[in-house]
Amino acid sequence: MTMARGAAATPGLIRMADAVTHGSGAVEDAAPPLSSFSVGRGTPDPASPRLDGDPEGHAPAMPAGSLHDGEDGLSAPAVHRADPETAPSLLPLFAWLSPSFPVGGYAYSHALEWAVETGDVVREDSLLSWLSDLLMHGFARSDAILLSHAYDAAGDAAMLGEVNALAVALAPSAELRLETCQQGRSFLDAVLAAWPCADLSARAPALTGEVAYPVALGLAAAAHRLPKPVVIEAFLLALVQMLVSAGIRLAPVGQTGGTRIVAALAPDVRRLAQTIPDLTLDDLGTATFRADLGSFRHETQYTRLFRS
Amino acid sequence: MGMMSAASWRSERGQRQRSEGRIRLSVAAARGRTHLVGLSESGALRARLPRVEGSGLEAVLVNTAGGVACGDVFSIAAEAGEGASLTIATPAAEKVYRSDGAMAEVTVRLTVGAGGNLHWLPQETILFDQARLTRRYAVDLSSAARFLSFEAVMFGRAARGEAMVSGHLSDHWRIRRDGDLVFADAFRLSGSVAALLARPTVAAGRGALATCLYVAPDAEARLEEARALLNDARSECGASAWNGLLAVRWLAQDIETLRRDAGSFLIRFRGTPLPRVWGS
Repeated sequence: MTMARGAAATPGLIRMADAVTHGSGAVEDAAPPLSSFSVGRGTPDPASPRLDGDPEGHAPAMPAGSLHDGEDGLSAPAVHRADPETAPSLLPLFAWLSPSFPVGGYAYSHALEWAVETGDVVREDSLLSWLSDLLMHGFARSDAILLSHAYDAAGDAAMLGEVNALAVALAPSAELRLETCQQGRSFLDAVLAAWPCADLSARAPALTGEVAYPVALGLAAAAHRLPKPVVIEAFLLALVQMLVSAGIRLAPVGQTGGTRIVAALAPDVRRLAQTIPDLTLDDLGTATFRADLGSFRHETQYTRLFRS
Repeated sequence: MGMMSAASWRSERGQRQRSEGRIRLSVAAARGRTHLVGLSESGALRARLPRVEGSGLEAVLVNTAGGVACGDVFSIAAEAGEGASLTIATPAAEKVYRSDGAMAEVTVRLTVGAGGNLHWLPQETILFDQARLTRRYAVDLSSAARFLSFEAVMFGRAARGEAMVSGHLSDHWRIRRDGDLVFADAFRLSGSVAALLARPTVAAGRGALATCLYVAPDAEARLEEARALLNDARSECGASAWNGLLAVRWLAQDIETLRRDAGSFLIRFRGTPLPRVWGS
């Protein structure tokens, strides 16, 4: 595995990580009133859930996450200088990916609880290694691809439904299906209730029944005009943080150790996130056969704190 | 058998013509038995229909090319009509040889009507070092159909001490029930295969893995039974059931252990012996 442990992340990523980990209350307090998200943007073209002036949805000449670095990129002016009544803001993303957002991620370990039970994950190094695999070769990469396609399909009910059906069907076990579908539905309902916007209300009915979490996030992010590369990166980091949090509760890994793991994986998150927008649904795939088998075995594990 | 000698010369010559094989098979129920109603074969694929006990029909798919090599394209389509019962097997392990870069492709399309029953039971696939294989399975079921599949893969030839150091395998599954997608799987092992297999999340250094899928109205109700049938297995294995399907996975050091454990499961879970060509 290539892994630059402890390598410095970008300023943008670090700030996002800090906000997600420590500043959720402040972020939500600082969020503008709901009305600013539902007025002043006119009626967006439902077929192209893109930021104005960025038809490809990419931050040009600037890697995702570098929002605070440049003056020439699209997003930096939008974040810092534009009229707060009309400009897209990243604040919804901070709130949605915060552990305090009522999605229930704390209840799931993605079979990490089994890996601790079997002794595959015992300390900081083995937790880092396990999570690195889930990120680069496992469900996180696939979920990011699905998020990306849901984002792009947000204006096309039939396509969005297909991406969601695939995302739900790809869950490899009963518990992992529950993990993604319960969080997906909770997320979508919470965003509809607390962060309404016309686009989301118009598009959410395309997702009846079970909704996979990355699809729900992709749709909400598109409806709220959040820049896709940043959403993908932040989503992957939030997955890592959720699993680290589960790992800290399960294995003898302390808060500091957990923080080190998040920092060590941040460069991998960035590298992976940058590949995602170019990938098709045919590129979906995971190598983590044994981790998925672990989720089968977790169902009959004697002591369980987690639902997956 | 003839396949083996063909396999040995193919494995020693790097250059060869790419082979192609296509088979279409359909069966239907009539007068309490399953009958063949359509069969077309081309290229390297042939079907044999051995006489079997019971009212169902068994088809043994023979690859006369003696394995799969780079750039080969195989396509299999089988349909079991309403109330029909079809078991599909292969006469030996399928060997996938080292590739000079081209991807071998196998496409499988299976269709089962209401009250129909289809068991897809090929023997294991053995991937040689630097093999490159992509397989696509599309299964269309009536909600009143029963479908069972078993696929095992051995990475490298442990008996010869040959690991699959690098190469590619991707398996794409799509199972639809009354048109709705109920199961999808995308397994993808690409690049440094041996290094990936060594990782605890992938295979913890083991080289043989298998998955059984069972989609049927009683699939979820049979979860406890399936788990009980795994109790004496030496492989690392487990079962899960959801949404009208049941999945079982095995992971073993060698193919003999995997065959013993999975074979024992399949015989008891299906309530009938394995196809005779399995020879176990």
